[in-house]
Amino acid sequence: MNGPPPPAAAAVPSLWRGAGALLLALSAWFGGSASAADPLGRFPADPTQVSVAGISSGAFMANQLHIAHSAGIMGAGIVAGGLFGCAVDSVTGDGVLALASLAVGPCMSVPTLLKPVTSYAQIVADFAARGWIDSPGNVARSRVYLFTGQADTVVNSRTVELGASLYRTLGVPASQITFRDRDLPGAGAGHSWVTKNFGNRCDANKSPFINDCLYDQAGEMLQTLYGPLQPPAVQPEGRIVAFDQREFVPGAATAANGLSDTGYLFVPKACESGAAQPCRLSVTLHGCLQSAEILGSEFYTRIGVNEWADTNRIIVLYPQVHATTVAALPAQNASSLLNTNPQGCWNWWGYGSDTRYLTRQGVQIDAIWSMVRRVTGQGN
Amino acid sequence: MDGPSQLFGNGLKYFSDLLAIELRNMEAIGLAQQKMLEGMGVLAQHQAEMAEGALRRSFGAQPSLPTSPSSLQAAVIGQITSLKTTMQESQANSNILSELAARSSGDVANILQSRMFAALDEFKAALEQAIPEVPLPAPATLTVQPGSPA
Repeated sequence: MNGPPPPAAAAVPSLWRGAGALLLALSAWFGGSASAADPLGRFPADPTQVSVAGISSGAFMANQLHIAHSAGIMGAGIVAGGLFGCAVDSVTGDGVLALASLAVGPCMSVPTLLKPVTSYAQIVADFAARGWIDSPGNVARSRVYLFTGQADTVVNSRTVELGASLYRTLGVPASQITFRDRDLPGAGAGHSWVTKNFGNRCDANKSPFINDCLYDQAGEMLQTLYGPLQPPAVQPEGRIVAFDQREFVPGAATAANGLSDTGYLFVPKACESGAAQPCRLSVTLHGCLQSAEILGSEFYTRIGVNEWADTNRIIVLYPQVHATTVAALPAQNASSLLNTNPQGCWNWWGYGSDTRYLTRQGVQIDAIWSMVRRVTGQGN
Repeated sequence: MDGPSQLFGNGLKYFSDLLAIELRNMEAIGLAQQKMLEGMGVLAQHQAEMAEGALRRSFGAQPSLPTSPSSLQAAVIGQITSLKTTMQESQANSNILSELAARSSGDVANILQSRMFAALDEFKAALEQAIPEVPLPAPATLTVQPGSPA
């Protein structure tokens, strides 16, 4: 998808190509969202083989999804993020008070201000007692992969270590956890999804936050979650499907809730309707500044996941975030600025006035879970 | 035209509406004050927790006396690292307090603003009831006589 243009396109004078691109951009601006993608379809996927993964804010969201829906999610891949309740200041009667300053401070860059792991375990127990998340007893059966780069200057390694510690505290045996932070070239990985052969230098901390570290993160992650797998495809034969995310958000208010109108799905040939065997489903979440609105197809085609999915009957769901500004919020008031999501991150500090963002009732968690139920043929 | 008794009745109704609006305004101000006090309480509690945490950390990290040049170097490096950490913590704590204060004042402002908007709507409705709109007389038809100056 990011390769050179086909010969016919290359022959078109650049001016006309520019005009064409402008027209395409204008049509997307004025009519793109109205003529959004098709509805998400059902596939022969086994609902007991659903895993979640993500990087950075996507890792925090993957962790939240996993803990909120632990009865239906069998494993989580957490890259450079993820500590449940890290941005929570206090729990109130009907939700939580979470702070962006806790997210960017203790959770990302000042680990000395993180609380002991028992504090986060207490939040999990409290939410379970209120019925906001599935029983944490399910988490103990999970398989978990965690990764932090030694050269990561965005999310401190201590946060990821504490995330691993929380999983152990919740009863996940050490044999079911893979924690990777070393044995990479040079100074180690920067803040990124790490690949074997694509992206920035291994120690970079910059866009697209996909780094070439000669390490197949997708492979080790998926094999931690699903056990030994067939080797990856050199060129995936499955298809990418764009789907409409609006139906999964109350009032179709995607932008106000930090979600894009369009999400993507990778479907291996072996997982099309009428497949002989049921497939697995991996929900894979991009990080801040990595949505399709910013990177185009780069994240959902170049992180090495589709190659493994193609040969191992794994459908990959890539939900997408939208960078929400004040103008997209339903009401403008004195608190509007505190509810924006300017970098297109998943909600792990309660923006959009979502005081249940890390529970089953969180708007984004509920939307993704409804997508999972649709793909696995359980929901509407 | 309305009779005097009807006007008097309208006037009473108007004053009772105004009184109700004023009572609701007072309620909103009370709620805003309560939110402000809660916000100040939360801020004070966080400040106390932060001070306690800083004290605990500084007592927990007592430097040992250097006994050789290499240990002196290690001690100095340790002190610099510790100072950087303290500065980062102070900045993070300050950001947390600022956000709490901003959220608290935002809550107060939202309460007062939404009450102000509601009060203006209620006042408008009360006024419309008290002084019913009287239709203006139709303007006299202008006729221009042929030959008269325009």
